[in-house]
Amino acid sequence: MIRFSKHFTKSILATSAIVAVMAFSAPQMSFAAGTPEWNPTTSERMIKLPSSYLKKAIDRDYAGSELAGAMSDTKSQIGAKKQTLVDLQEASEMAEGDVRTELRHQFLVEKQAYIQLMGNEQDLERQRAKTKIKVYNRLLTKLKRNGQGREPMAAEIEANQNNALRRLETASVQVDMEMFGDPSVQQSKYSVDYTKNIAAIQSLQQAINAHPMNQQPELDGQPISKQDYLRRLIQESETDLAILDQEEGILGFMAKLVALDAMALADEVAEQNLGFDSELNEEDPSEITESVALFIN
Amino acid sequence: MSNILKTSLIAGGLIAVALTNVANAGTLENLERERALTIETMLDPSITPSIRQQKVTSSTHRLVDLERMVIRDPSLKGSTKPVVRVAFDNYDLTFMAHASIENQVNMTDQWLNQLGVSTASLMDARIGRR
Repeated sequence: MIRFSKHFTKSILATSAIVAVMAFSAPQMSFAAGTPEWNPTTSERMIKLPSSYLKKAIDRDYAGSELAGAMSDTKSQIGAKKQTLVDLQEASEMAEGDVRTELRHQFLVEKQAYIQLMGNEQDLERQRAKTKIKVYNRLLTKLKRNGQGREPMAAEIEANQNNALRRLETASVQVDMEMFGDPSVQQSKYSVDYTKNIAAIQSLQQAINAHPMNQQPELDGQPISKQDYLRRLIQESETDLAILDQEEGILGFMAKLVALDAMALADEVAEQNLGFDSELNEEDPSEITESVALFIN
Repeated sequence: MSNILKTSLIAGGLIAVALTNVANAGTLENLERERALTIETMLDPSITPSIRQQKVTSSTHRLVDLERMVIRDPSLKGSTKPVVRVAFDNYDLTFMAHASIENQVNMTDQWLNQLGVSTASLMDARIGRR
């Protein structure tokens, strides 16, 4: 039977206890100090952007932020840590005795670090989703403010202006015929230039409407308004948050397993160190019935 | 990365500029000025009917353009200025040139009708002392 030194056993037990405690609390760990930030600003100009461009503008703003940098770093650390775990697992399966115990111990420590990194990543993801929701809500409020709070008089005047425009468009052919129907009468400069410009404007508008960056967002094949599009983006971010909550639960279970493994390892090492077999220990030497045989000839 | 961001910023700026309506001040004032001159010509007793007709016809051409400019002016959209409100409250009075052609009457009749003065009301009028 392999005997461990007293110092080594103590160290294993202490470390296992720490691993257990930390593993249970891993998902709650976060960037306590120097939290990376992402503070996107919402301007009036953003509201005027085409819907599809709006989302891209926010994503690009995020890509250049401190938060995105921290997220990228954490992801690469997680990748490296995962590889370390695989290597350690393989190594511990092949090792024996003292080395095996040490590798198992290392494996648990790395698992704990992996869970901690995953927790950090979730914190960053949560921060990103919450910031997105905040930004979209701010844009939605601005959009609502632009459409509301108008004086009733302004609405009435605008209605009159729309009626005037409709009436003008209906009568313009009649007016042109009356004014410029006679070939001897030349059309005014404004009229000629306006007709020329309106043709140019229409062709430009067609090009704008057909431009891929100006495609209206659609829901089930139906075009939706900018407000509805923003509400959809908020909903998507809230879905991300809900998934993150679920993943936090998964991380909690992982942490619990690591803690249990650590306890099992500590127990195993302690048993080996004390040098008793668990099956033999079940027999209590102080049991009186066990001693009866000693008194019978 | 920085180049992409710069390009995006420029593109965003251009779109925002393109979407901003350039205020085109003064269209309504120009129309009001031309209307006042036309009405003055209509009421001028010092000119002969043929000259008046000639001047009014010339004014009508200018008024047609000015009326179209006012109706299409985006800077006036939803403006609550009293002058804008009054102008759009009565299309037939403000946009006399278009309204007269629509109603198949000459511009003087159109203006007088809007003020409640018709041939019939003038014929019915009696000269008397109050």
